[in-house]
Order: sequence, then structure tokens, then C-alpha cells
Amino acid sequence: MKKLFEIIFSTRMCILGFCLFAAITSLILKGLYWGRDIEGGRQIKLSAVDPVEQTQFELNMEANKIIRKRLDFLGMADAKTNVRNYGIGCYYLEVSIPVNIPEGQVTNLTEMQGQLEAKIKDTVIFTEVVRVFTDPEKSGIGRRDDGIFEWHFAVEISPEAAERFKRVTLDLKPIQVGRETYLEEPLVLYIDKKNVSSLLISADMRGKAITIPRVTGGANTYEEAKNEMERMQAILDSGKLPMRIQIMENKQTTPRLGAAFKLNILFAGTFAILGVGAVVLLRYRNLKIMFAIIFTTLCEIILILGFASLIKWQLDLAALAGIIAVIGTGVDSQIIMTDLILVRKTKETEEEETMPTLVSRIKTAFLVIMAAALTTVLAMGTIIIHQELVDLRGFAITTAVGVLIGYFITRPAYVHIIETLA
Amino acid sequence: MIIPFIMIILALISIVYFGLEKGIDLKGADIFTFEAEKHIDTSKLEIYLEKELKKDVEIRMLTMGGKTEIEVSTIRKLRRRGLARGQEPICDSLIQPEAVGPEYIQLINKTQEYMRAELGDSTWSIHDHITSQSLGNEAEFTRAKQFVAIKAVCMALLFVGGIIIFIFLEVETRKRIISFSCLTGMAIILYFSERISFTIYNFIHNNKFLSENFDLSRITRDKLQLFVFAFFLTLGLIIFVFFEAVISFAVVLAAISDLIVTLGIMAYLKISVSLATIAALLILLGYSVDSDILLTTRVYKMRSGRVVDRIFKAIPTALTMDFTSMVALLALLLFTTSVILQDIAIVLLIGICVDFVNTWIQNAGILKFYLERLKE
Repeated sequence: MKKLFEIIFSTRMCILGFCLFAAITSLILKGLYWGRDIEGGRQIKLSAVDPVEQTQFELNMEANKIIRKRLDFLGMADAKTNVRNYGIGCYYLEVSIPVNIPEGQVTNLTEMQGQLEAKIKDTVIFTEVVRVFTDPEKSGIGRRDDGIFEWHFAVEISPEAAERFKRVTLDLKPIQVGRETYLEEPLVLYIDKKNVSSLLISADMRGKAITIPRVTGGANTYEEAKNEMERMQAILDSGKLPMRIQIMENKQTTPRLGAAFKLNILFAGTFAILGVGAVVLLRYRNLKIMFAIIFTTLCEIILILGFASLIKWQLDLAALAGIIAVIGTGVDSQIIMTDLILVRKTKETEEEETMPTLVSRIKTAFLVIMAAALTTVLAMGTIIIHQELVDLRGFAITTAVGVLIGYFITRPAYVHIIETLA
Repeated sequence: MIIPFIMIILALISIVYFGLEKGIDLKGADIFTFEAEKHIDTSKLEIYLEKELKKDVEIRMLTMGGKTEIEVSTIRKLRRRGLARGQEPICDSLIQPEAVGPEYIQLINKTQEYMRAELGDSTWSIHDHITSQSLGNEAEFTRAKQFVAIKAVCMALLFVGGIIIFIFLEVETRKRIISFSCLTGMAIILYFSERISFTIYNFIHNNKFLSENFDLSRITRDKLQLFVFAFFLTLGLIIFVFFEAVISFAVVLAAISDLIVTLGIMAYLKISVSLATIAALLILLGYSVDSDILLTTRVYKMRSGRVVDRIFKAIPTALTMDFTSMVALLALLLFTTSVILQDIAIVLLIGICVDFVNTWIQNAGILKFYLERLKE
């Protein structure tokens, strides 16, 4: 009992306790953030098609802003976009979307340059819109008599464009289509030089400066119509990308895997800790040491997870691998320390002479651990600074943080426990 | 003493003979996994796809928890950046929504066709796939990744050397600091190796140092970059020789041989070198240094008794360390279903076994030899 008090009421244990408290609070309040390959989601890496354009950082930043805008428009505010570089002067865009979205939806948003041209005959009326209306009054989907779902929304164009519209339509003749009268030439919308929407202009609009024209289109199902409408709205609203873009990498995972996988990892972790405990027990034949090692390891895991939730780091597969690596090295250094501290207990006087004090033994132990820790942190640092290895960043960060936590927080506490116990 | 060197030679032969297989993230590939409710003859599917697509298709079955997942992958031909002028981008239409490149779409469509024919179910859709990846649309990005992976390992090795030399070099502090900063500095220079090779290339071809013309042959630059790597690694070795740092050199040698032998075994077992396994190799570097430092401090810093006795006294600690790590990794291997985590676990398990031999035979042998000669 007295020993227990001795263990608990010490500076090192208090530091550990405080950190544990902070980590657990953060875990409870914020929870853990899971990465794409566990929670599901999509990651796309995009680069410019033309190599000369690609060399420019500003272009990529601008494209980034536009894609960001398109994603926000579709209510994907959780999506992350980044401009990263590889090699000299080569940049690429990374788009990560946490939820699972149909392939076409996203790829079109990101791939399409969105170069708009609205033409009547061969005269360009407008190339950009001032505003896109999304409110139900000015946009919507209706079903036509022939079963096709028709979507429509209004856009606002500049007064100059409206003036041009007025001038061009004056020269057009009205023609009779069914019951309605339309002008002989439609207003055609081109996006990336492809005809996406061809609008008949009703005859009474002739010669008027219209600033709020309607864009319409049709699809076979309601879903398709809705998707198409939203896509058009997003593209028109965000404007045109400064360069043509292609997909370099495209990765997708469904969220179905997640739950089963978390359970798997929990299993693996539990068995790993139990196995480590068993090996330690076999070696030292001492329950106290085994519990001390398991306790320290658990603390380390909680602290890493707490840190991850504190900085909102998304845990992906690689990060979990990193945690396991940290457990491995953590237990290793605990064993090194235990052995060096327990030397006192062995009867060999020879060793007593060479290593007279406990302090110097602990110093040696910490030297070993410091070297290993520094090596690991620097090796991980090399991964972190390279943007090409961004897929491994989670791994590197958890490992480096784990090693640092081990060296500065848990290991001093462990030494204290073992000192008191031994 | 001779065993570790035979191991290294065998490993090198294995790497040359079998060749290292690159993982999908280091070479282009289209890959996707889907869940199959009924039993499917994968060999038939493979033959069908190979006939239809006219390229190699690899199919793996992963069974877990009563469910069968089928992973279909094809290697993608790397595409150089930049299409010819006027050529349309690969995919930019509203008409074709599955715009991830024609090869990928073809792979998915053909598989779907086969599955529908097999299951006789017209509603069956491949869109239930669990994961899908299409990588390597751009050759340069993939190549950049390969290079950076090599670079990271080289940098890590230089850092390791610097730290070890700082701790164990048997001379006064001034020399230690000099050698430490030399090695760390080299690692930092290595970080800028691309910039350096770019400048050299530019100088040779355009006779000027500063040019922002990026439209250069990447391949030549890559070759130059390899030379820069090799140059700085050799310089690092020279530092060890110059400072007569036998003990530190033994540690670094053990780490390097760990990497080489593990790579050799990976080549033999056809485990691919992907970003995940490179991460595993970097962890292995940490493990290796851990056990080597343990040995060296025990033998070199605590001078009492015979050298051999000191070595043998350190072995139980090392064995415990190795066993705990192996148990943890075995748990990871057996209880997770992720291919990535399993690859990492396998590579580390191999690496730890290799490390045991390298530390306690090679490193201990060199230490024993050196310390006994030092006494005389």
C-alpha cells in the first residue's frame, strides 16, 4: 500500500496522469477522426494536362479555389483540397472527400474545366455568369408529359451580355413550334466546347435585354436530373478552371468496411498486448513488472490517440500501423530499462563494481533509448517533409509522436514504477 | 562471422535474380475489390478478362468472416504527361460519367458483364465495389514517388550514422560534433538532391546555372539524382573511415545489411515493394538500431569481464525484445484483414529475424574483433 502511494505521488506520475487526463478528455469530447481507407471516401489527385502550365504554382492555387467552391456548392464542406508539389516546379491538386460519392459526380466536377460559352448562331452572348440561383422559386425539376424529367434554374448575366442578347435576337424570325412561338435560333450553352444545353427562346423575348435567363435540361430519372442540375450549377457558379486537368490517381473506399475493420484492429491490439504480457511474464516471472509494462503501453496508446484527436489527425491504416510500431519499440525500451535496473538484484558483485549507482544505470538506459528514439524520429521526419509520400504521413506522424511521448512522458514514469517496485 | 556476409551476398543474388516487384502505388495499376455473394470461379474470370482486355489480369480472393472479396487488378501502362497539342483530355465529358480513364472503365465494365452472365442477374452491379483505385495515370508522378522513397531511406541512413557516431565515437567531443554535423548536413543536402541534379543538368546542357526552364528530360535528371544519392552515401562512408569509427560503422553496417537481406527475402517471396513496405523498412531501421545500440552499450561502455561474456549477457534482453515485437506483429498478421497491414507485419517479422543474426553475429563479431585488438 505504501509502495502504491509512493508510485502515485511523484512528479513523473503526476505529469503522466495529467497528460492521460487531457488525452481522455479530448477523446471523449472530440472523438477520433478516421481516414479514408477506414471510414470510406474518395481521394483524387489531379494535375494539369499541359506540362508548361503545370509549372506554375499560382495556377494550381487558383484551380484549387475553384474546385473548393464547386465542392462547397454541393454541400461537401468536409472535403479537403490541397496543392502539393513533386519534383521541381511540378504541382498537383489533392482532393479528399470523406463521404462516398458516385464516381461521375466528383470526377466531372474536378475534371471539367468549365469553360462556358453561350451562343446564338455564332455570336457569343456571354462567357460567364454573375450569379446562379438555387432557391426553389428560380430552380427546380419537373416532369414533362413524355416522362422526361426536366430541370431548370436561372442565372444572372451582366448588362452588357443582356444588351448583346437584345441586339442579336432582333434579327431573328419567330417560328411556330406546336402551340408556342419561338425564335428560329436557340441559345446554345457550351461547356468545354461541348453542347450541354440548347434553349429555345420564346418569341416575346425578342429584342428585350434579359438579365436573368433560364438554363434547362432533361434526364431520364429524377436522380439523374437532380445530379445534372447540381453539377451544372456548381460549374457555372465557380467559373472556369485556369487549365485543363486530368486525374493522376483515384482511390475510393466504401464505408462498409469500417466497422468490421475497427473491430479487427481492436482484436489485434488486444492480442498483441496480451502476447507481449505473456512473453514478459515468462521472462521475468513477476506479475508486477508485467502489469507495469502493460500499463505503460496502454498509456502510450491512449496518449497517441488523444494527441491525434486533439490535432484532428485522421487515422488511416498507415497511422494504425504506426501505433503498432510504437508499441513494439516502446516495449523494447521498457525491457532494456527493466534489465538494466534489475541488474542490482543479481548477485554478481562484478557488475556492482562497474555500475555502482542506479542513477548511472538509468542514464545508460536512457542513452540507448534516446539514440533509438532520435533515429526513429529523424527517419519519420524524412517522410513528413516529402510531399510525394503524403500517403505515409499518417504513419510517420503517429510513429514520431509516439516515440516522443514515450521518451518524455511514459518512460520516466515507467522507470519510477520499476525503481519503486524493484 | 561469415554467416551474415553470405546472407548479404545471397540477398543481392536474390534481388538481381528474382527482381524486386513494385507495389501498385509505385507502378500504375487499376484495381478494385468487390464482394461476391455466390461462389465464383476466379480462374475463369481471369481468363475471360485477359482475353477481353488483352493484358495481364491478377485476381485475388480474400475470405473473411464468411464473406468473399474478390480483388481484380491490372497493371496500367504509365502515361507520360502532356498530350499532343489539340488532343482531347482523357476524360472530360458530361456524357461519360465514369471518367477515370478508359482502361479503368473497361476493366469494371468487363467484370460486370462476366458477373451478370455468371449470376444470371441483370440487376447485379459492380458499383457495390468496396475499394477501387486507379493509379499511375501520370508516369512522372509515379517515378517521383519511387525516387523519394529511395531518398527517404538514404537520408534516414545518414541520420542514423550521424547519431551513432555522436554517441559512440571514441574521440574527444569536438571531433564527434564535426562528424555528426557532417553527416546530418549531408542528409539535408540530400533533401535538395533534385534541385542539385537539376542545376547540374542545366549547367551541362544550357551552360547556365539559373534557368526556370522545366521542360527537361526527366530521365536524365533521375539518373543524375541517383548519382547524387550514391555520392553522398559514399561521402558518409568516408567519414566513418576518416574518423576511424569502427564501432559506429559496425552499427550502420548492421542496419544496412538488415535492409539488404530483408529486401532479398522479399524478392524471393515476391512481396512487392510498396509505400507500406518501405514504411516497414524504415521501422526496421529503428528496431535494428535499437538492438545494435543495446549490444554496443553493454559491450563497449560497461568495461568489465571478457568481451564474449558481456555479449552473452546482453542476449536475453535482446531475445525478449525480439519476442515481444514478434508476438505483437503476429497478432497484427492474424487478426487484421487489411493487405497493407499484413504486408507491413510480414516484412517486419522477416526483418526482426534477420536483425537478430546481423546484430549478434555480425555486429558482435566486429566489436569482439576490434576490442580484443584494442587491448593488445
